[in-house]
Amino acid sequence: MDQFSLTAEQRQCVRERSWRGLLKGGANIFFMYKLAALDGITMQDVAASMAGIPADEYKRMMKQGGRSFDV
Amino acid sequence: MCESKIVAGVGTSHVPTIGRVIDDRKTGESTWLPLFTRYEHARELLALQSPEVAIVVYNDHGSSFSLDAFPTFAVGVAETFEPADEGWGPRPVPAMAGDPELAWHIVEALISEEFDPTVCQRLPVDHGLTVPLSILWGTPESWPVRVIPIAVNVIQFPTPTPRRCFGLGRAIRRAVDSYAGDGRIVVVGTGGMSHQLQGGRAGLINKQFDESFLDAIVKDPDRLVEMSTDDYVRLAGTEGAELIMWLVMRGAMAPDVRALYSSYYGPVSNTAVGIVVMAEE
Repeated sequence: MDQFSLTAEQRQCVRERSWRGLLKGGANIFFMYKLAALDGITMQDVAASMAGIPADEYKRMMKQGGRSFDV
Repeated sequence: MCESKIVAGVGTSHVPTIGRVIDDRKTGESTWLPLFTRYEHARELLALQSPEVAIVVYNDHGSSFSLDAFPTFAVGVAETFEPADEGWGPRPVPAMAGDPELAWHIVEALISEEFDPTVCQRLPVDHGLTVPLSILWGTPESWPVRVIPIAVNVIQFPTPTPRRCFGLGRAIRRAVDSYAGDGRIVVVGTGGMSHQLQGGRAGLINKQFDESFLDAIVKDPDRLVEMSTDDYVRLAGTEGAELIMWLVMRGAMAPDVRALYSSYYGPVSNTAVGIVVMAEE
Protein backbone atom coordinates (compact mmCIF):
# COMPACT_ATOMS: atom_id res chain seq x y z
CA MET A 1 0.00 0.00 0.00
CA ASP A 2 3.08 2.21 0.46
CA GLN A 3 3.86 1.57 -3.18
CA PHE A 4 0.53 3.10 -4.23
CA SER A 5 0.64 5.99 -1.72
CA LEU A 6 -2.73 5.14 -0.19
CA THR A 7 -4.02 7.45 2.54
CA ALA A 8 -4.43 6.16 6.09
CA GLU A 9 -8.19 6.04 5.53
CA GLN A 10 -7.86 4.07 2.30
CA ARG A 11 -5.50 1.59 3.98
CA GLN A 12 -7.99 1.09 6.78
CA CYS A 13 -10.72 0.35 4.23
CA VAL A 14 -8.50 -2.22 2.48
CA ARG A 15 -7.68 -3.94 5.78
CA GLU A 16 -11.31 -3.99 6.93
CA ARG A 17 -12.62 -4.80 3.46
CA SER A 18 -14.92 -1.83 3.80
CA TRP A 19 -16.32 -1.96 0.27
CA ARG A 20 -18.39 1.20 0.59
CA GLY A 21 -15.45 2.96 2.17
CA LEU A 22 -13.23 1.92 -0.73
CA LEU A 23 -15.83 3.14 -3.19
CA LYS A 24 -16.01 6.52 -1.43
CA GLY A 25 -12.21 6.61 -1.37
CA GLY A 26 -12.11 6.42 -5.15
CA ALA A 27 -11.72 2.70 -5.86
CA ASN A 28 -13.07 1.12 -9.04
CA ILE A 29 -15.48 -1.80 -8.55
CA PHE A 30 -13.67 -4.14 -10.96
CA PHE A 31 -10.35 -3.63 -9.18
CA MET A 32 -12.04 -3.90 -5.78
CA TYR A 33 -13.38 -7.21 -6.99
CA LYS A 34 -9.83 -8.53 -7.45
CA LEU A 35 -9.36 -7.99 -3.72
CA ALA A 36 -12.63 -9.81 -3.02
CA ALA A 37 -11.55 -12.71 -5.24
CA LEU A 38 -8.41 -13.10 -3.13
CA ASP A 39 -10.71 -13.54 -0.13
CA GLY A 40 -12.66 -16.18 -2.04
CA ILE A 41 -15.92 -14.23 -2.01
CA THR A 42 -18.19 -13.46 -4.94
CA MET A 43 -19.37 -10.25 -6.57
CA GLN A 44 -22.77 -10.97 -5.02
CA ASP A 45 -21.18 -10.97 -1.55
CA VAL A 46 -19.54 -7.61 -2.24
CA ALA A 47 -22.73 -6.18 -3.71
CA ALA A 48 -24.77 -7.40 -0.73
CA SER A 49 -22.31 -5.79 1.66
CA MET A 50 -22.49 -2.47 -0.17
CA ALA A 51 -26.27 -2.63 -0.29
CA GLY A 52 -26.24 -3.27 3.47
CA ILE A 53 -28.18 -6.54 3.35
CA PRO A 54 -27.14 -10.11 4.24
CA ALA A 55 -25.70 -12.12 1.35
CA ASP A 56 -28.47 -14.74 1.39
CA GLU A 57 -31.10 -12.02 1.31
CA TYR A 58 -29.33 -10.36 -1.62
CA LYS A 59 -29.14 -13.67 -3.45
CA ARG A 60 -32.85 -14.23 -2.91
CA MET A 61 -33.62 -10.73 -4.17
CA MET A 62 -31.67 -11.42 -7.40
CA LYS A 63 -33.43 -14.76 -7.91
CA GLN A 64 -36.74 -12.94 -7.61
CA GLY A 65 -35.84 -10.45 -10.34
CA GLY A 66 -33.50 -8.05 -8.54
CA ARG A 67 -33.92 -4.71 -6.81
CA SER A 68 -36.85 -3.06 -8.51
CA PHE A 69 -36.41 0.28 -10.18
CA ASP A 70 -38.25 3.26 -8.76
CA VAL A 71 -37.75 6.63 -10.39
CA MET B 1 -15.21 -9.93 -57.07
CA CYS B 2 -14.09 -9.25 -53.54
CA GLU B 3 -16.68 -7.97 -51.18
CA SER B 4 -16.90 -7.60 -47.44
CA LYS B 5 -20.32 -7.32 -45.97
CA ILE B 6 -21.96 -6.95 -42.57
CA VAL B 7 -24.43 -9.83 -42.53
CA ALA B 8 -25.69 -9.58 -38.95
CA GLY B 9 -25.63 -7.58 -35.74
CA VAL B 10 -25.91 -9.09 -32.28
CA GLY B 11 -26.42 -7.52 -28.89
CA THR B 12 -25.74 -9.81 -25.94
CA SER B 13 -24.91 -9.75 -22.25
CA HIS B 14 -21.47 -11.00 -21.24
CA VAL B 15 -22.12 -12.23 -17.68
CA PRO B 16 -19.16 -14.29 -16.30
CA THR B 17 -21.51 -16.86 -14.72
CA ILE B 18 -22.83 -17.79 -18.17
CA GLY B 19 -19.26 -18.55 -19.27
CA ARG B 20 -18.76 -20.71 -16.20
CA VAL B 21 -21.95 -22.69 -16.89
CA ILE B 22 -20.77 -23.34 -20.46
CA ASP B 23 -17.25 -24.29 -19.32
CA ASP B 24 -18.65 -26.68 -16.71
CA ARG B 25 -20.97 -28.19 -19.37
CA LYS B 26 -24.04 -27.42 -17.27
CA THR B 27 -26.12 -25.80 -19.99
CA GLY B 28 -28.52 -28.77 -20.08
CA GLU B 29 -29.32 -28.63 -16.36
CA SER B 30 -32.86 -27.62 -15.51
CA THR B 31 -31.76 -24.31 -13.96
CA TRP B 32 -29.99 -23.27 -17.14
CA LEU B 33 -31.93 -24.96 -19.91
CA PRO B 34 -34.45 -22.12 -20.39
CA LEU B 35 -31.60 -19.65 -21.00
CA PHE B 36 -29.64 -21.94 -23.31
CA THR B 37 -32.73 -22.87 -25.29
CA ARG B 38 -32.95 -19.18 -26.11
CA TYR B 39 -29.29 -19.09 -27.04
CA GLU B 40 -29.77 -22.14 -29.26
CA HIS B 41 -32.37 -20.23 -31.29
CA ALA B 42 -30.08 -17.22 -31.57
CA ARG B 43 -27.17 -19.45 -32.69
CA GLU B 44 -29.20 -21.17 -35.39
CA LEU B 45 -30.44 -17.89 -36.83
CA LEU B 46 -26.97 -16.36 -36.78
CA ALA B 47 -25.47 -19.46 -38.42
CA LEU B 48 -27.85 -18.99 -41.37
CA GLN B 49 -26.03 -15.70 -42.07
CA SER B 50 -22.71 -17.64 -42.33
CA PRO B 51 -20.46 -15.07 -40.64
CA GLU B 52 -16.69 -15.51 -41.10
CA VAL B 53 -15.49 -12.54 -39.06
CA ALA B 54 -16.78 -11.18 -35.75
CA ILE B 55 -16.10 -7.58 -34.81
CA VAL B 56 -16.74 -7.76 -31.07
CA VAL B 57 -17.34 -4.56 -29.13
CA TYR B 58 -16.58 -5.32 -25.51
CA ASN B 59 -14.94 -3.92 -22.44
CA ASP B 60 -11.89 -5.04 -20.54
CA HIS B 61 -12.44 -5.47 -16.78
CA GLY B 62 -8.91 -4.68 -15.62
CA SER B 63 -7.47 -7.79 -17.28
CA SER B 64 -5.36 -6.24 -20.04
CA PHE B 65 -5.65 -2.56 -19.15
CA SER B 66 -5.05 -1.06 -15.75
CA LEU B 67 -6.04 2.33 -14.43
CA ASP B 68 -2.45 3.41 -15.14
CA ALA B 69 -3.57 3.68 -18.77
CA PHE B 70 -7.11 2.93 -19.84
CA PRO B 71 -7.94 3.57 -23.50
CA THR B 72 -11.36 4.99 -24.35
CA PHE B 73 -11.39 2.98 -27.58
CA ALA B 74 -8.95 0.25 -28.64
CA VAL B 75 -8.71 -2.09 -31.63
CA GLY B 76 -6.98 -5.50 -31.52
CA VAL B 77 -4.86 -6.08 -34.63
CA ALA B 78 -3.03 -9.22 -33.47
CA GLU B 79 -2.81 -12.57 -35.29
CA THR B 80 -4.31 -14.29 -32.25
CA PHE B 81 -5.94 -13.34 -28.98
CA GLU B 82 -5.53 -15.47 -25.86
CA PRO B 83 -8.24 -15.72 -23.20
CA ALA B 84 -7.12 -13.55 -20.26
CA ASP B 85 -6.44 -14.88 -16.79
CA GLU B 86 -8.96 -13.05 -14.61
CA GLY B 87 -7.67 -14.55 -11.38
CA TRP B 88 -8.79 -18.18 -11.66
CA GLY B 89 -6.74 -19.10 -14.72
CA PRO B 90 -7.86 -18.36 -18.29
CA ARG B 91 -11.23 -19.76 -19.42
CA PRO B 92 -10.73 -23.16 -21.12
CA VAL B 93 -11.64 -21.81 -24.56
CA PRO B 94 -9.53 -21.82 -27.73
CA ALA B 95 -7.41 -18.81 -28.60
CA MET B 96 -9.10 -16.56 -31.14
CA ALA B 97 -7.63 -16.02 -34.59
CA GLY B 98 -7.53 -12.35 -35.48
CA ASP B 99 -7.92 -10.67 -38.85
CA PRO B 100 -4.96 -8.28 -38.92
CA GLU B 101 -5.63 -7.12 -42.47
CA LEU B 102 -9.19 -5.99 -41.83
CA ALA B 103 -8.30 -4.78 -38.32
CA TRP B 104 -5.53 -2.52 -39.66
CA HIS B 105 -7.86 -1.27 -42.38
CA ILE B 106 -10.40 -0.35 -39.68
CA VAL B 107 -7.68 1.40 -37.64
CA GLU B 108 -6.54 3.43 -40.65
CA ALA B 109 -10.10 4.28 -41.64
CA LEU B 110 -11.01 5.33 -38.09
CA ILE B 111 -7.94 7.54 -37.75
CA SER B 112 -8.59 9.17 -41.12
CA GLU B 113 -12.07 10.00 -39.76
CA GLU B 114 -10.53 11.45 -36.59
CA PHE B 115 -11.42 8.60 -34.28
CA ASP B 116 -8.08 7.75 -32.67
CA PRO B 117 -8.18 4.30 -31.12
CA THR B 118 -5.36 2.68 -29.19
CA VAL B 119 -3.88 -0.05 -31.40
CA CYS B 120 -3.24 -3.34 -29.57
CA GLN B 121 -0.66 -5.77 -30.94
CA ARG B 122 -1.20 -8.01 -27.93
CA LEU B 123 -4.52 -8.12 -26.15
CA PRO B 124 -5.56 -10.99 -23.88
CA VAL B 125 -9.37 -10.82 -23.90
CA ASP B 126 -11.49 -11.43 -20.82
CA HIS B 127 -15.08 -12.59 -20.27
CA GLY B 128 -16.34 -9.40 -21.89
CA LEU B 129 -15.39 -10.93 -25.25
CA THR B 130 -15.10 -14.67 -24.64
CA VAL B 131 -18.53 -15.15 -23.05
CA PRO B 132 -20.37 -13.71 -26.09
CA LEU B 133 -18.32 -16.02 -28.35
CA SER B 134 -19.37 -19.01 -26.22
CA ILE B 135 -22.99 -17.84 -26.27
CA LEU B 136 -22.96 -17.57 -30.06
CA TRP B 137 -20.75 -20.55 -31.00
CA GLY B 138 -20.79 -22.93 -28.04
CA THR B 139 -17.74 -25.07 -27.29
CA PRO B 140 -15.92 -25.68 -30.61
CA GLU B 141 -12.34 -26.92 -30.85
CA SER B 142 -11.54 -23.79 -32.75
CA TRP B 143 -13.73 -20.73 -33.26
CA PRO B 144 -15.52 -20.66 -36.63
CA VAL B 145 -14.92 -16.90 -37.00
CA ARG B 146 -11.89 -14.62 -37.02
CA VAL B 147 -12.19 -12.01 -34.29
CA ILE B 148 -11.52 -8.27 -34.21
CA PRO B 149 -11.83 -6.95 -30.65
CA ILE B 150 -12.97 -3.35 -30.22
CA ALA B 151 -12.54 -2.37 -26.56
CA VAL B 152 -14.54 0.50 -25.07
CA ASN B 153 -13.95 2.06 -21.68
CA VAL B 154 -17.16 1.66 -19.73
CA ILE B 155 -15.60 0.97 -16.32
CA GLN B 156 -13.97 4.25 -15.32
CA PHE B 157 -15.45 7.69 -15.81
CA PRO B 158 -15.39 9.66 -18.00
CA THR B 159 -16.76 7.09 -20.45
CA PRO B 160 -17.50 7.93 -24.08
CA THR B 161 -20.95 9.36 -24.81
CA PRO B 162 -23.69 7.19 -26.31
CA ARG B 163 -23.57 9.39 -29.43
CA ARG B 164 -19.83 8.89 -29.80
CA CYS B 165 -20.30 5.13 -29.54
CA PHE B 166 -22.93 5.18 -32.27
CA GLY B 167 -20.62 7.37 -34.37
CA LEU B 168 -17.82 4.85 -33.90
CA GLY B 169 -20.17 2.21 -35.26
CA ARG B 170 -20.97 4.36 -38.31
CA ALA B 171 -17.23 4.82 -38.93
CA ILE B 172 -16.63 1.06 -38.61
CA ARG B 173 -19.38 0.54 -41.19
CA ARG B 174 -17.72 2.91 -43.64
CA ALA B 175 -14.40 1.13 -43.02
CA VAL B 176 -15.97 -2.24 -43.86
CA ASP B 177 -17.63 -0.78 -46.97
CA SER B 178 -14.28 0.54 -48.21
CA TYR B 179 -12.40 -2.70 -47.54
CA ALA B 180 -11.02 -4.43 -50.63
CA GLY B 181 -10.95 -7.90 -49.05
CA ASP B 182 -13.61 -10.53 -48.66
CA GLY B 183 -15.62 -11.47 -45.64
CA ARG B 184 -19.04 -11.97 -44.14
CA ILE B 185 -19.02 -10.00 -40.92
CA VAL B 186 -21.11 -10.07 -37.76
CA VAL B 187 -20.80 -7.10 -35.41
CA VAL B 188 -21.42 -8.02 -31.77
CA GLY B 189 -22.22 -5.41 -29.13
CA THR B 190 -21.77 -6.85 -25.65
CA GLY B 191 -22.63 -6.04 -22.05
CA GLY B 192 -25.72 -5.19 -20.05
CA MET B 193 -28.51 -5.41 -19.62
CA SER B 194 -29.50 -3.48 -16.48
CA HIS B 195 -27.29 -4.09 -13.45
CA GLN B 196 -25.52 -2.26 -10.69
CA LEU B 197 -22.68 -3.89 -8.78
CA GLN B 198 -21.85 -1.05 -6.45
CA GLY B 199 -23.19 1.20 -3.73
CA GLY B 200 -26.53 1.17 -1.95
CA ARG B 201 -28.44 0.50 -5.17
CA ALA B 202 -26.50 -2.72 -5.90
CA GLY B 203 -28.75 -5.39 -7.35
CA LEU B 204 -30.78 -2.99 -9.47
CA ILE B 205 -32.70 -4.56 -12.36
CA ASN B 206 -34.94 -2.46 -14.62
CA LYS B 207 -36.93 -4.88 -16.71
CA GLN B 208 -39.11 -2.18 -18.23
CA PHE B 209 -36.09 -0.24 -19.46
CA ASP B 210 -34.37 -3.39 -20.75
CA GLU B 211 -37.40 -4.44 -22.76
CA SER B 212 -37.77 -0.98 -24.25
CA PHE B 213 -34.03 -0.97 -25.07
CA LEU B 214 -34.30 -4.37 -26.81
CA ASP B 215 -37.11 -2.97 -28.94
CA ALA B 216 -35.49 0.40 -29.68
CA ILE B 217 -32.06 -1.00 -30.55
CA VAL B 218 -33.77 -2.52 -33.59
CA LYS B 219 -36.45 0.03 -34.50
CA ASP B 220 -35.49 3.37 -33.01
CA PRO B 221 -31.78 3.60 -32.12
CA ASP B 222 -31.92 7.43 -32.35
CA ARG B 223 -33.86 7.45 -29.09
CA LEU B 224 -31.07 5.48 -27.40
CA VAL B 225 -28.37 7.70 -28.90
CA GLU B 226 -30.07 10.83 -27.59
CA MET B 227 -30.03 9.56 -23.99
CA SER B 228 -27.20 10.87 -21.81
CA THR B 229 -24.67 8.77 -19.92
CA ASP B 230 -26.47 9.87 -16.72
CA ASP B 231 -29.75 8.55 -18.14
CA TYR B 232 -28.10 5.16 -18.72
CA VAL B 233 -26.66 5.07 -15.20
CA ARG B 234 -30.01 6.04 -13.67
CA LEU B 235 -32.15 3.68 -15.74
CA ALA B 236 -29.82 0.71 -16.34
CA GLY B 237 -27.49 1.03 -13.33
CA THR B 238 -23.82 2.00 -13.03
CA GLU B 239 -22.70 -1.14 -14.89
CA GLY B 240 -25.82 -1.43 -17.07
CA ALA B 241 -24.60 1.81 -18.65
CA GLU B 242 -22.23 -0.42 -20.64
CA LEU B 243 -25.21 -0.96 -22.96
CA ILE B 244 -23.70 1.92 -24.95
CA MET B 245 -21.51 -0.78 -26.51
CA TRP B 246 -24.62 -2.10 -28.28
CA LEU B 247 -24.85 1.34 -29.92
CA VAL B 248 -21.47 0.77 -31.62
CA MET B 249 -22.92 -2.41 -33.13
CA ARG B 250 -26.15 -0.65 -34.14
CA GLY B 251 -24.20 2.21 -35.71
CA ALA B 252 -22.42 -0.33 -37.93
CA MET B 253 -25.76 -1.62 -39.25
CA ALA B 254 -27.98 0.02 -41.87
CA PRO B 255 -30.73 2.33 -40.57
CA ASP B 256 -33.38 -0.28 -41.37
CA VAL B 257 -32.88 -3.69 -39.84
CA ARG B 258 -35.16 -6.50 -38.79
CA ALA B 259 -34.84 -8.58 -35.65
CA LEU B 260 -34.21 -12.25 -36.41
CA TYR B 261 -34.39 -13.02 -32.70
CA SER B 262 -34.89 -11.04 -29.53
CA SER B 263 -35.27 -12.35 -26.01
CA TYR B 264 -35.20 -11.05 -22.45
CA TYR B 265 -34.41 -13.45 -19.66
CA GLY B 266 -33.97 -11.42 -16.47
CA PRO B 267 -31.14 -11.59 -13.94
CA VAL B 268 -28.29 -14.13 -13.89
CA SER B 269 -26.26 -13.53 -10.71
CA ASN B 270 -26.30 -9.69 -10.70
CA THR B 271 -27.17 -8.87 -14.29
CA ALA B 272 -30.25 -8.85 -16.48
CA VAL B 273 -29.64 -10.98 -19.56
CA GLY B 274 -30.91 -10.21 -23.04
CA ILE B 275 -30.00 -11.03 -26.62
CA VAL B 276 -30.94 -9.68 -30.01
CA VAL B 277 -29.88 -10.88 -33.45
CA MET B 278 -30.59 -8.59 -36.39
CA ALA B 279 -30.02 -8.45 -40.12
CA GLU B 280 -30.45 -5.75 -42.73
CA GLU B 281 -33.64 -5.53 -44.72
